Formats: sequence, structure tokens, C-alpha cells
Amino acid sequence: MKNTKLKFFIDTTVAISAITGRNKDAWILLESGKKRLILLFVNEFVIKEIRRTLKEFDFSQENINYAIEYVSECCTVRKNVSKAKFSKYIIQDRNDIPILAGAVQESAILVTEDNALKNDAKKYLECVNPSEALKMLSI
Amino acid sequence: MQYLSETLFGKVTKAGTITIPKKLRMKYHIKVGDVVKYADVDDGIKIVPSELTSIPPNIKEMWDEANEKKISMKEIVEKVKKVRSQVYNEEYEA
Repeated sequence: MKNTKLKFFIDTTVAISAITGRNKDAWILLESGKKRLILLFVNEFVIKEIRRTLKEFDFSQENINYAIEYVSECCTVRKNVSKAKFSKYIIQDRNDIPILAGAVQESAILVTEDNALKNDAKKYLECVNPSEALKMLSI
Repeated sequence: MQYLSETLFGKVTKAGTITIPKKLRMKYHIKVGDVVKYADVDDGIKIVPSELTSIPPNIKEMWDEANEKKISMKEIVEKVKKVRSQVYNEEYEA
């Protein structure tokens, strides 16, 4: 099962679906990162979004802090990509560029639950949903 | 460790699936949706309940809360979109 060659960049949608138990495949993906069976990455932008989104769903501050700590254990947290590098990306929603650019900078496969982002991102890198990511790993 | 005294059998289907006998599922607390690990050993295949399915209590609490709130995947994607717009402005437009 160990495959250290594959690197995945985790979109906020995947982190939230794992933390809230909405998608068990997303959870297994995060756990695999925690156990260093695979390499997972996020950036500070994603961490901020996770915190904000969980707050929007009215989770307690204690559980939000735990969730952030948990994601940081599963993934390597990178600095945000500078805006100067955004001009080469032409996608429908410019707000997605920090995620896309983060994955490209890491030469990672982007994992997202957002089909619109998935379709857009394919111009620049490989992009899959959590189930497809697990299939790549034969988990 | 108390082992089961009887020998249990399973039949492989066309799709390659087998059913883990109920007695063994109960003994090893294997539930629907759990992940098991296959290990290739000298005399066959060893099936081990995967540690990947263990859930920390705080996370379990969040899963239960999300169930109560009936949070859907569609809602997650929409909420992240809304938050993303705010975070983008704070990080890159401020």
C-alpha cells in the first residue's frame, strides 16, 4: 500500500468531508497521510478555509482546533503561493487559483470534491476525487 | 487469544469478492464500510482489520454532529465556495 511517489494536494472540500464523516474515502486518504503511507499537502489558505468553514457549520471552537491540528498532522502545510504567479491560470473561478497553484507548485495531484474545480484544474494537473485517489493507491 | 475452534469457509464470487463469516466480523469488530488490509503471507492471504478505520473521539463527535445537522456534500462544496471568496479577498486583495 505504501506509495511515496504519489503526492496529493488536499482541497478544503476534501478535508471538510473527511472531518465531518461525509465521505469515508476522504477520511481514509487523510489517515493514510497521517500514517505516512502517502504524501499529502495543503497550504495556509486551505487551513484558513477549514477553520472558517467549520465555524460556519457551528462546530465548537474546541473541535475546530482539534480538526486543524489533525489535518496538520496528516498533511504538510505549505506557505501560500504569491499572487504574482496567478496570471498563468485561466479558470472559471479565480478564487480557486490559490488551491490550484498550491498543487502545481508541489507537483501534486489535486484532490477535490468540487466537480467544477476538478474539470477546470485538469488543464494544469491531474485532478481526482477521494475515491479515485484511493483507487490510484489500491487502498 | 481465544481462537474459534471451527474452520469457516467462504466462496469467491465472479467479481472476486468473499464474505467474511459473521462470527469473525463480530469477533474483530468489522463493520459495514470498514477497510481491511490483505497481507500476502507464506501459506495464503491474511485479512487484518485496518487501523485506518479508527476514529479519534473528537472527530467521531464531529461526524455525529454532522449527521444530526444533516450536512450534505453539496452543502460543503457551496459553503467552501462562499468562504473561499472571503478568504481570497483577505489574503490577496487586502
